[in-house]
Amino acid sequence: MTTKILHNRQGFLFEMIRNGRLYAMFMPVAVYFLIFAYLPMTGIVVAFKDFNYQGGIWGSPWNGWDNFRYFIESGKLVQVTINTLLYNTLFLVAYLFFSILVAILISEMGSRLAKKTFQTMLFLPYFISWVTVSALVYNLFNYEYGLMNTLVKGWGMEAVDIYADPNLWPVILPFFYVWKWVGFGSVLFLASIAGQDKECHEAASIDGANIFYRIRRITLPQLKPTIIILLLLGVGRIMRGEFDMFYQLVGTNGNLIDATDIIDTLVFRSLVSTQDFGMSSAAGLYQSILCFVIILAVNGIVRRQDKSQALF
Amino acid sequence: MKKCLHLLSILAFGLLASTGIVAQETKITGYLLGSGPSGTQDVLDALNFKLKADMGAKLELNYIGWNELGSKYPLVLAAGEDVDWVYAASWNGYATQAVRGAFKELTPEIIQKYMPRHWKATPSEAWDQAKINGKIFMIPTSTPDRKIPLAVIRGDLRKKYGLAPVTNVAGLEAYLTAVKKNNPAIIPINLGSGYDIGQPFFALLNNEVPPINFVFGGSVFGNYEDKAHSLVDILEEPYLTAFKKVANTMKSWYTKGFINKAPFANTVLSKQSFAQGKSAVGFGNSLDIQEVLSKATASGFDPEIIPILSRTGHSPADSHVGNGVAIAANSKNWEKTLQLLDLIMEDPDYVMLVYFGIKGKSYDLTPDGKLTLPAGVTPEKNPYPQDAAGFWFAKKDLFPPQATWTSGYIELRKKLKDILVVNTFVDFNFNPGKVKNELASIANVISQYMDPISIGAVSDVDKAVATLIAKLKSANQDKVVAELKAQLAAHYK
Repeated sequence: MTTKILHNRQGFLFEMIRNGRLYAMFMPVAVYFLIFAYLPMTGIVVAFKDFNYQGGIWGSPWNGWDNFRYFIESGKLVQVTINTLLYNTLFLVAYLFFSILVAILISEMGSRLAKKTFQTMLFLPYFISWVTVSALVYNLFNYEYGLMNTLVKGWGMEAVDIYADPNLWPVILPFFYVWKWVGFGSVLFLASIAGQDKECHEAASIDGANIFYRIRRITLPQLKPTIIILLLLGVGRIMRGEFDMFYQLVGTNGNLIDATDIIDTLVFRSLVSTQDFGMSSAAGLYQSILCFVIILAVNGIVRRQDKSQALF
Repeated sequence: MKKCLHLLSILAFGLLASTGIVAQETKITGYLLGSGPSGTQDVLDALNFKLKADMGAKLELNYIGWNELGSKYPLVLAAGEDVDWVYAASWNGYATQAVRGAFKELTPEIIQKYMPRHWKATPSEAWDQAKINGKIFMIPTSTPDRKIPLAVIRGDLRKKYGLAPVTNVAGLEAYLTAVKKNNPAIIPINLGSGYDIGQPFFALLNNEVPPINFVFGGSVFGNYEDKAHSLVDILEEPYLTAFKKVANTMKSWYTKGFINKAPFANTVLSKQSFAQGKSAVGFGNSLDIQEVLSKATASGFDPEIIPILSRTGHSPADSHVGNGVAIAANSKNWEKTLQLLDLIMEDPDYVMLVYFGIKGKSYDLTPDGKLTLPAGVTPEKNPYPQDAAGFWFAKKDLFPPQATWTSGYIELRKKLKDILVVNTFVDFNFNPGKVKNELASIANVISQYMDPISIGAVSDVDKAVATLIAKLKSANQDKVVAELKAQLAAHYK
């Protein structure tokens, strides 16, 4: 029996015996994910239950699809899903584009002092919470005494009521998203650029390639794996809105709701007074399933193009 | 030998302690809302010193922050570990949580036995108000807040422009016009998000419709002076005309620049901006406005109070369940917890300590017994300002009068007993379980379609009101009203 398994070179036991040490090293990670990612997943059932404190997650009575009803009956499901998808796609594209741009610009800077100064300045917004940003934005944009409108009025023009114009927000929100995250993103790409072989650049320079040519032909192609991984990771949470940002910058503003409503803000607004675990879990489940489908699709596309670049 | 005896006695003590024969301090964990001011730890130490001597208990105090209230409050209850008591109030989903089994059921016998002081101090209607399906799940305060909503304006500006005193929010037009014209640096009304949003609108609406108050949530009103518990639909005639009239007034105020353009993004409340001199009208209630009045007086604004009342000159009195405590369903030491609560809710020494802090540090008394700040402590530097620590269920009749009260405020306090009337819906607790999906949709409709109307930020009032009515209809408002009527009928049969 044992010999049979050992002879079967694809067998589970054989694999365990051969790579036992590696699996032992992997154990803590496996346990971590089991406890903090897989076990809690069973809590999904609460989306189908009428939660009460005595019964808890498992003992509460089932109520079928009842928790999903408000989500569909609100008539906003399609709109917020599209909004979430569009905003996050915009965020992801803008974030990747500007992170790469900044990383390349910084890496091409000659002076070490300039490099460090710019990097630190760009990184700083990463540490500011959205609550603080919202106060900054309000003082920048508000109609009565905002910095922008004071300047505009100073030039003799009409003040702009930014908080009433839904068309401006698809620009404002990605702007602040990039402003906050670009420092962080550029570090990831800078690390990747730092790992690139300097000799290629030197050889290309000697052969007469100018800086733009080198960036296009040497730096960017080598960044491709990093770009794809960050893209896939970003796509993995594409249905999860940046709730903090939307809630803090826009607030519950009736005039902007149609333009800035994402799944997370709709759920928050509808359920903040109801405090129902089941209903909020229902929304979470909906987001997770969409995310799951989207990541499978995108990963599938990447796989078909280049198997080695795909996540799985 | 001596060593042996010593060891033996330690062992014996340990054994006794573990079996509970030697009294140990019982740890009692409680949750309040908000966040404790800087002096909380000192007050808690002083409190625990007294508690240890009086009843051998130790209080561990935690806070659920305002910004995470909606999410953390149910989580604390769901975790069910290490919670003995938690702040509870009708406005904070008491009925909803009680129905879901979050709180321990209490009976009059239990209260009488473990909270004799509180039982004596609390009228029987308080316990009726706390009943959900005939059972009591919370300990209501013995002294409900005696407060009314109000607006404050700057008397110095009003007199400067030669305007007559204003007694009603509807009479503010001339004042707002004058402020707008003469003070470009001041926004006449600078509303903040949250509390402020509906204030001016409903203050104006009060002049036009019967005495109304929310019966449940943000959409259903009832006539609080009507013994028959009638509901009032303000979006139907004869009230719809009045509703539109008020909406038009708000729109004209908004268009004329009397109201700031983006209240939803403004985190500074109107009363705070009033106190700082940046705006000319502040909204609040007769309790939380005290601080604003003293700051404004200090800046020479001569604040004047405009009570926000119904046509009948009344305002519904707060119920006993507007502030209270509930015992967590899984509390192991609920008897001790009740005894402890009896002390901090009713005992004068304890009440002064938890509400005003340590004498000489955060408060002092004038020779004639009025409450004041200790020498050298400014309102900003006060380590434990009143109301801040969240013990709002303590007996407020025990509070001394305050040295900072303005003459206008003292006058208002005298009038309160004539203004406040019993809200006829006060002992009714709506159980939203059956219509929770509809309520979620309605909450959504209110913020998208009602809030812009109430600040005046709509281009066409008739169209906006029609949309609001249509959206409420498609959110099945009718079903909620029907459920509400059924529960009202069952409750008041």
